[in-house]
Amino acid sequence: MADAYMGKILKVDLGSGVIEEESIPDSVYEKFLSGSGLGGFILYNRIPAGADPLGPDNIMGFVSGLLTGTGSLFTGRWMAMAKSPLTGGYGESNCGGNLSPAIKRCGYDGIFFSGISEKPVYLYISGAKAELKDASDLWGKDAIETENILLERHSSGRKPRVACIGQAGERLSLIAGISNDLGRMAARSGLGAVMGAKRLKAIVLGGSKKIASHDKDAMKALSAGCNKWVQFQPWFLSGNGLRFLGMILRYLPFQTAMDGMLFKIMLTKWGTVSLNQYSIEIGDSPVKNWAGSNLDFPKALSDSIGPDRIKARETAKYHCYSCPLGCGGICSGPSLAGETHKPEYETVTALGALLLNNDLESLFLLNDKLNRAGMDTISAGVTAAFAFECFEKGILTEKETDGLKLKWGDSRALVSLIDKMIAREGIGDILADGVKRAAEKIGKNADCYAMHSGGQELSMHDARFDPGFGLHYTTEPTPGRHTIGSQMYYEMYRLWKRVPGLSRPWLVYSKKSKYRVNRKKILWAVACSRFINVLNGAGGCAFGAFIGVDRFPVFEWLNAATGWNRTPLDYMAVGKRIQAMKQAFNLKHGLDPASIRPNPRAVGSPPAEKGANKGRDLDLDKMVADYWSESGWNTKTGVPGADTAADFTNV
Amino acid sequence: MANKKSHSYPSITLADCIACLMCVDVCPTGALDIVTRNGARGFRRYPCLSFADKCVSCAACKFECPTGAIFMKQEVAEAAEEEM
Repeated sequence: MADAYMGKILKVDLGSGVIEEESIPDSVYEKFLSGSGLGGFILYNRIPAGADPLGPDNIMGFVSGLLTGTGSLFTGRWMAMAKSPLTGGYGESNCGGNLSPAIKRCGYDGIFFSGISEKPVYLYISGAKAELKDASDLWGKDAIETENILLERHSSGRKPRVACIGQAGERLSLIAGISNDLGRMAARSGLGAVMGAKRLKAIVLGGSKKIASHDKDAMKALSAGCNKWVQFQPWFLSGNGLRFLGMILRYLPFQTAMDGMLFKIMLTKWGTVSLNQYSIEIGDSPVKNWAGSNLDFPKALSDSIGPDRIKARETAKYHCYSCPLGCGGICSGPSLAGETHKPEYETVTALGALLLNNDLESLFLLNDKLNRAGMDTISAGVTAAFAFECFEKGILTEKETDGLKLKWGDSRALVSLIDKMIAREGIGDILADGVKRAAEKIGKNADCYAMHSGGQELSMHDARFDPGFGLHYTTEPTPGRHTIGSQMYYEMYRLWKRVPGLSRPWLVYSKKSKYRVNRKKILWAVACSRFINVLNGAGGCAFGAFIGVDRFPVFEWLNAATGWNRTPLDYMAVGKRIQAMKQAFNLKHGLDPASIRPNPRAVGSPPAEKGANKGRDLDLDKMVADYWSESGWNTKTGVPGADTAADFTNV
Repeated sequence: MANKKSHSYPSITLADCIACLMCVDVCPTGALDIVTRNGARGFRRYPCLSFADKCVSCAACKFECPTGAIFMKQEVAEAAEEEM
């Protein structure tokens, strides 16, 4: 067995209570790494076709990254995966916090749950013992309270790490996520509902096993080199200055390739909220349920949620495990009972610009409420914006909203609506399952205003600003998310520095050229998809990777940690295999990739009549066909080639 | 219980610490915990020898640290003082 991975998984049958270990052959790690790849391999081979996502046949995994605990930086992310009740296909969510090393320190690369428990339980692992414990007293409690109780209950030895669900998961909200480290969320794909359906309230991991690394000295040297780049932090603009820069860039007919070091500097200074106003000005943030523009949320409105305003509430920086940057933050405020995690850009925009809400206090309050309930802030914001637009159009009236007047920018109505979604009361019961289900239940052509792709609510990056987002929202086995690729991501990953055959973008290019579909840009998108699957197999953070693979040496770390001697091209082939396997999972479960498209509004159909993205549209059909062609998949159906499919079972 | 004064304890140089918390994770006994402090890079959640009685002087934290911010000191009181 190579170093870096534990070579075992833990299987827990919640129906029978049987807990057993299983050794995983080296060939699985060699072909799929760990993390997303190992999890996908188990799910693909062991969930029967057509299984009910909320039934006993679904398998829920918690998997660490291959590089986690080996001495590399930015590699502490863990992945939860199951068949998604939200999309009906492969479901996965990825989170930082502190759980990833805890999985390995229990002696496993992953923990997989099947069956349904008769009563609420949690898994507790300490030393060599793994046991299911009664969680009846925890059922009904929010995620933060649950974690604090469990930390107190198991405080005798080494402090354990906890992942748990709040009330949203218990109530089977299809936009429920999983909380770790008091409010870091694995939010997407509705996996909190899978835990809720299994009556699995939490996992509590207190192991202390050693994680090996093949060449510790090489790992340290690589980490030291990476850290030098991360610690470079020159003077930078104020929040208002950054907003002004976004405005200037909007007016220019050309743009420059993005160096991720600039984003790193912004992340170090503010975290992801650095984008709050900049992204609105430049056209990256969707506004007013994607029907508005920067003109609907100008400086006068956005100033109150600017990055400096949020940073002023930060009492300490928060670092996930193995992160030298610390983009997170711990905040407090008058509306909050105690400390809370700083809202992320996605949260602020989904509950802010998307609803024309500029009430900062409401954003802190909603972020805290949703983290406690364990509900995805992106999906909650998108679903609320859908309800607001339905109200504006007369599809929903005060009769259906229990008297709530859903007027754009009304933060009090928004807070009440989110409360109803968490409690599944009245209109909230319809909205708690996400925007696609809500539109189906409401009818009256409400789906025109439902901003999702394949059932997953769209993230807060506008495909009309960067067409790459539109392509990845459509073609990925986990559609609708911003964490995989875009043209700007390709520029920041700097893959051409390590992967032969990939081209370097022009330093300066016209904005119009972004919307022309050509083979070069399709190859960049395919490279992003493959790379992110490698990164998620390694447990790496995209924000680390954004400084570029020559400064964030993930390929070199993988070799030094495992003792393998592989080229970056070899690893990209692994990424290709993992992505194809997830696509094959979707096909096995009856999804038609060709039918998955984001809401037309999101890709400029019809084009916006004003604002930063005025007149822009995407030739999505051509982009998708070309992407599938360059991936080696059927250009009409999105089915991976037969030779690739054989790879997923023969290990 | 062993005589703690005969053991060595980790001391963390905050100026070099990047708050990656890998030392807290690698500690087999839970002697290191996380405490918010005002270091060279502002208020952050830094590692701290909060439970010196649990420390078994294995130096795993020292070997895990990617920046060389941890060194081993003989006296627990001295180590704590150095950290401050």
